Amino acid sequence: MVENTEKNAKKFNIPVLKDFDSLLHCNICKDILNVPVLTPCNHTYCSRCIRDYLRNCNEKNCPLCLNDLNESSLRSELLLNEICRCYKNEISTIFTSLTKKDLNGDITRTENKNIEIVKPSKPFGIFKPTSQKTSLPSTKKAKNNTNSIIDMFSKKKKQKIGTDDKQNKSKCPICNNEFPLKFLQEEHIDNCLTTSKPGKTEYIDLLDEQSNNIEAKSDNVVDEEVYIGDDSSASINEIKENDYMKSYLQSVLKSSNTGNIYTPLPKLQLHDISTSTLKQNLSRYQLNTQGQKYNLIQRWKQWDVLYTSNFVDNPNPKDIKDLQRELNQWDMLNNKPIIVNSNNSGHNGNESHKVVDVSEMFDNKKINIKDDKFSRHQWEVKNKREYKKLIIVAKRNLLKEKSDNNISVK
Amino acid sequence: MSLKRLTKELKDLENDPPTYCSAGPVGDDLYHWQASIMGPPDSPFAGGVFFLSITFPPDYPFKPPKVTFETKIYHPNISDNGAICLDILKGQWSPALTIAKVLLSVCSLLTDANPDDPLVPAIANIYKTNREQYDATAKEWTKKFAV
Repeated sequence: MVENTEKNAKKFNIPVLKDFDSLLHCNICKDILNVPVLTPCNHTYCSRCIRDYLRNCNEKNCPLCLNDLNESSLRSELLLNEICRCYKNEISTIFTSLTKKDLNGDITRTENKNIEIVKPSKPFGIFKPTSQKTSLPSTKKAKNNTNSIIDMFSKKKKQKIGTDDKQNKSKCPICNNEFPLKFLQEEHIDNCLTTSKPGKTEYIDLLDEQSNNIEAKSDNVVDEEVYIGDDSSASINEIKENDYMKSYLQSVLKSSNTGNIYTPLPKLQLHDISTSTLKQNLSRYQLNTQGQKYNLIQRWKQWDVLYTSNFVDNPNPKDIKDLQRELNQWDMLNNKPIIVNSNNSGHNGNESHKVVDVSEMFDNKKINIKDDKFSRHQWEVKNKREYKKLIIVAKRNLLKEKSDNNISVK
Repeated sequence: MSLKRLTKELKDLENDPPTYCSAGPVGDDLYHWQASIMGPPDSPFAGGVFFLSITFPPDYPFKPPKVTFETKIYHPNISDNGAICLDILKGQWSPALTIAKVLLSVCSLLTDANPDDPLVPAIANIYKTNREQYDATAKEWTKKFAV
């Protein structure tokens, strides 16, 4: 995906985007930041990368500036987390829409510029075409133009304008009918005062005119096929954007409420810990307790990193079961000798389970004897019967030899 | 993690290769790479091509890669069996470094040797006292082993 974006960046000659892309990368895993944390020296890494580095490598400095760095001083960056998540998920959509526009020549490009000019007015809510116009006929046209461009850009804004209209409606003090504020102020009140009958008919005409305009507008949109696609995708994107915004705000709220449900893992003195306490702690989180002490310690360290980066730094933590699965995977790959999965299925069942699993693994040739991960003990367990036979044969041979020797001596 | 990062580094090397250097895995094993460095033009090694072998530890990038010269080279910081005395390959390693950066450092080590922390004291001595002779011998070795 990242490669894709880089290729696309080249394809569209947007070096800035390439910069943007590389800015969002972690300097340790070289991937897009996943749950970023900030160091006191203002460098940002994935939570898991930097914690892994600080814990498992006994290094206490920042990888980029080599300044002293303590794990406790890492702070999660909630906003950047949301930015990276958004970028990671949406970049392909952005590029597909870019391709469409890029294929559509100069006209669309100039219109894109128009959109860009109009766009900044959105967040400030300045865009209230009905309330700001003074002379009706000329501004109406202008309004329609901008509207149609904006409509092309997003459907949501159309709704916004609609609500604006409704909000601007107010009652005429004379005839008690509701009219848009502008119409009311500029024409209706005068009409109401001068004529005995309120200018209802006039307004209906105006309404019709407006609705006609809207229809014409939508016709416009239909004519320009390019924008239909963009329109829908833009609205979808906006929904997603809102999601990111929401989840960002929620995460900020959560972190300010300090009520973190997840208590950090107990600090264990790993250098002089007994195997039983280690196992106790591991089993508390329903983790695998097999293997030698070294394996247990490594597993606990890795679990600590996974756990902290997920529940302390990540505003949207994964389920603990996913984490356990991840740890098991890590175990299989990195923690020799092989620890066979036996998710607390009771101690009695363990032994038979283990043998079956191992023999299956050997039978499937997943494990090579030459492999580093090869476990001699499990191999012995699996081939116990053959070994016994061999031992019996060897003993018999030994006896025979002895007796032969005795005979020859005699 | 190490595999993911190695594939990423390989892609980056393909996308924009560093000047004077190239690197890639030997066969299918992503943990064992071979690299080549062109002798920098402003050094006595100009014109030579030096081969290096790189082995990545399983916990790369948290531990530094092992980089050794396969081509014989006359240099105060590179031993007879190809070992390189470079701080970033030992204590000063940082996971933010990449193999491209390491190769660049090796390149700059070729132009600017560090005779104060030598691996071959004899060469360092000559480098310090008789630079002309050092340059001549280095050129000679380059012609002999690296062209």
